[in-house]
Amino acid sequence: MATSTSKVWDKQLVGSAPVMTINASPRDEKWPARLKEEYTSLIQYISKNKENGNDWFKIESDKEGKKWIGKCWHTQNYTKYEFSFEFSIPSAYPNSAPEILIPELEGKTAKMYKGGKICLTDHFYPLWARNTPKYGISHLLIFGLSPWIAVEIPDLLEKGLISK
Amino acid sequence: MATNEWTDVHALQDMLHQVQNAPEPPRLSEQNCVEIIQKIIKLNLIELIHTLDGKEYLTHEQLFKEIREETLAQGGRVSLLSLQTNLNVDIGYIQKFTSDLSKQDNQWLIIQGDFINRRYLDKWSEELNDNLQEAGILSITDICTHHNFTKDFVLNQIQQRLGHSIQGHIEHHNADVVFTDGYLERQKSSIRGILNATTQPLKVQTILKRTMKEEKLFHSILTQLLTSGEIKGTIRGSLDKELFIPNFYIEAQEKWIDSSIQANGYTDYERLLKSGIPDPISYVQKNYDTITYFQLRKQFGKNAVQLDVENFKLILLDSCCISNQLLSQIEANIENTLTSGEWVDIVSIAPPVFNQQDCIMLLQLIASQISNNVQFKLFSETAVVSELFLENLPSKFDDVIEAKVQRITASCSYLNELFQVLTGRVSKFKVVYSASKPKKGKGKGKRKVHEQEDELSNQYVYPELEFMNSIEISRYLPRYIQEISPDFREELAAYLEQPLTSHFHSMLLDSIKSKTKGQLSSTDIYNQLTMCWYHLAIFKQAIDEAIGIPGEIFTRYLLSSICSEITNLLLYLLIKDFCNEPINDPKTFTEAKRMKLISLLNEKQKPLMVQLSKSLHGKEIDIFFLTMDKIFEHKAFSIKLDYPNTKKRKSIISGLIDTFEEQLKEEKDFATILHLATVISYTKVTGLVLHSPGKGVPHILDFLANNIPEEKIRVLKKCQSLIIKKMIHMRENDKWDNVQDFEQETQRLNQELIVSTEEVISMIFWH
Repeated sequence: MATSTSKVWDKQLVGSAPVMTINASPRDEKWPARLKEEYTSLIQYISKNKENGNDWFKIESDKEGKKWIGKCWHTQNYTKYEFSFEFSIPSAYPNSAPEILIPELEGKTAKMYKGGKICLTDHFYPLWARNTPKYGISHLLIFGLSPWIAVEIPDLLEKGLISK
Repeated sequence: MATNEWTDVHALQDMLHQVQNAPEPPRLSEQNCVEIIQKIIKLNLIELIHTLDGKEYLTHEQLFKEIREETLAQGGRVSLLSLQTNLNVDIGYIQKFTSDLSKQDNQWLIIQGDFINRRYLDKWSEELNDNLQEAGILSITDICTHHNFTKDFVLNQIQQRLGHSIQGHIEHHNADVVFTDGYLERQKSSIRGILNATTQPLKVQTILKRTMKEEKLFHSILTQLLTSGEIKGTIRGSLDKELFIPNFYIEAQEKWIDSSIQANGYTDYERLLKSGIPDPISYVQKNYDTITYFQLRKQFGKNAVQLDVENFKLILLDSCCISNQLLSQIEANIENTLTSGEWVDIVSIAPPVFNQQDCIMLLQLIASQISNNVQFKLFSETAVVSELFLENLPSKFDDVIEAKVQRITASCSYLNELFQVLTGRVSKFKVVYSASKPKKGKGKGKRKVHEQEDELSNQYVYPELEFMNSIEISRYLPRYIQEISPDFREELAAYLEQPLTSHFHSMLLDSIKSKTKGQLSSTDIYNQLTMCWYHLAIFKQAIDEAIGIPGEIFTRYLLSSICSEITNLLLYLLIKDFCNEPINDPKTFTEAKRMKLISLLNEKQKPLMVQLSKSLHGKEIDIFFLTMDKIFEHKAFSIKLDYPNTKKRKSIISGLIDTFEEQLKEEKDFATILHLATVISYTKVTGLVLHSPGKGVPHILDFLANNIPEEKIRVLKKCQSLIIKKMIHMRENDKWDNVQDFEQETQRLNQELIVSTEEVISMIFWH
């Protein structure tokens, strides 16, 4: 039951962020084409969020689209908590998923690897593996970063490990 | 190509940048809105109610408004549950707000979970009135069911509106229906018409079915009509059996019952019930002079009250009542039957409607009134049988008894024993202890408890003595008695068992007697022998102890009489079983006969019996006794007679005196009277009984002369001299010339002797 519910939810989210059609890594010729799809997907997703008042991150990349940085935020008790994140496109992309780093939270939670890499092993990587090469950066943020923040930040706030 | 691609990528990068940095339209998310509203509520700035799905908030005023509008939209009545569904607000709020609304405004009501506006009730009452005017009557229950209201509410609403919006009536004691005046009048007329037209009892239920369904209203109308006298009749019975009976029918019925009772002399309650009298006994008691069976029994029990047949009176029995006149007729009928030695079953002469119990009661009343001169017995509670009839009844079985007796006498090998039993010398019955069945104990095996209760029962020693049991008699009875009821037959058979058996025994005894021709049984002979031996012992003692009396005369007489009898009886006992020729009474054996019979004895018995016979002719009695002792000791005879002990002796002496006295009373011969009187007097003086011959009397008188008062001896002597005188006179009859003179003298002497012997007898008995 839980699986079917999550599938519906995934579809809705995926609907707001279109999937990729081109399977290409930064080393491939088709990378710019893939990158175009990535951007289109991101633009569409962010536009929808803006319409619905659900805007929760900002992102930008270098010119080749290999290095990505951005900010994400979480609102709780009338307070907005903002965190910087970054990730690089691995050479095996899209077969292997990028690893998101939130350096400022390093050492504050157990759900994080050394260097500030957030833990996506359980909830995201299996999903990515099943959906590669259709999933792209927008999906990395929707299914990888967003749930991590929704779970971890209230916990850290409660523990007092994060201040305003 | 690749450059173009990258150009597009950069363009997209710029677009992303623009999109991200574009200003966000001012908006509050739902979450924020919720938070803001909750904040406002918390600060008591506003009171809101949220809908069940949580998507909307309502103010109190809005909810009030929505409830009112929804109710009116539904026609003025809506269930609270419908409100909850339609307004999408929790039922708790609905209940609270409708309740508040009904309290604030009397136009609103909550009835049985429904929220109602008064306009709805007005409309409802108008509709009700329309229906009522159309139908004439409406059931409150139907209204309640149809409109889903409680009875109290409906009644309350109708009563408020009666005479205004509802034109009708509700009776105080019958609040089940509401009806119009027109309806009431129509029903009254209908019921009045039916009841006035009816000529016989009519079931109220039938009238009800034909007129109206409302039973209570019907009864109310009926009561009104009866009270006002518009219809003439009575209601009897209750519930389903309720009857309307017109007055003229009751009058006719009473006349008919009266004439029936007067003519028949009885009537049964069932008949009265069928003719519509619900409580016949009360009816009879109310209309006639009555007395119950038990009261009458009590009266009869105290003293012999004759029935007063002049005044008509009914006696109440179990299922009917009977007039005193008819009772006395039946009584006379029964008495006549009994007087003529017959029997009658009261069931056959009582009126056919009388049941068993009535017949029993009737017979008990009659039995207590029947004259004491008429002897009778009651059988099976209803049959009355005269004693005469019962006495004659066993003789009707004579043919059956005769056949059985002939069969027994022809085939039975032990008739002598039967004879003994029948003559009472041996008990007819053997005592048998019959143990009742052991009660089963609760335990198993060895623990069974055998609690035996001994019961004594009689069984005949010989099966031949049993005639018939009651079942067999019962089978024969219809041969001799016609139209006998089974119960009576059984009881009569049980009653007859004993008399019939006695009758059978007497016939059997007669038959055995005639068959054996007077031959005595061994036991008889032995008993006679013993009795003779006792007498001999007593007489010998008297001779031995006598003073002033010559013993020789008495000894010789004793030898020739008692001793001779003993010898003969002994001889008879010895030869009885093997002697082929018929033997007559052993007491009458002559000497020759005796010797002939002795010769038949075996060699062991013969010498002693010869010796005994010879001893009878001697002068000494001791030889006889010595010979007897030898016989007792001899094995060949196997007989032993004891001498009587003192107690036995006393009883035998008293028995002998009684016998003498009895003989004296009966005796007509003058000499014997004197003989007996002398012997009795001697015994009274000495306590000894003399077995005296006639010639011993003067010797005894001589002894008595010195031992009894002079006046007594004078009486005896006078009698003696008169007897001697008469003897001489009789002996000298040839000396008389004139026979007439002789006769006259004889008569004179006889007269004197009668007077004298009477004196003797009175002396013996009164002095």
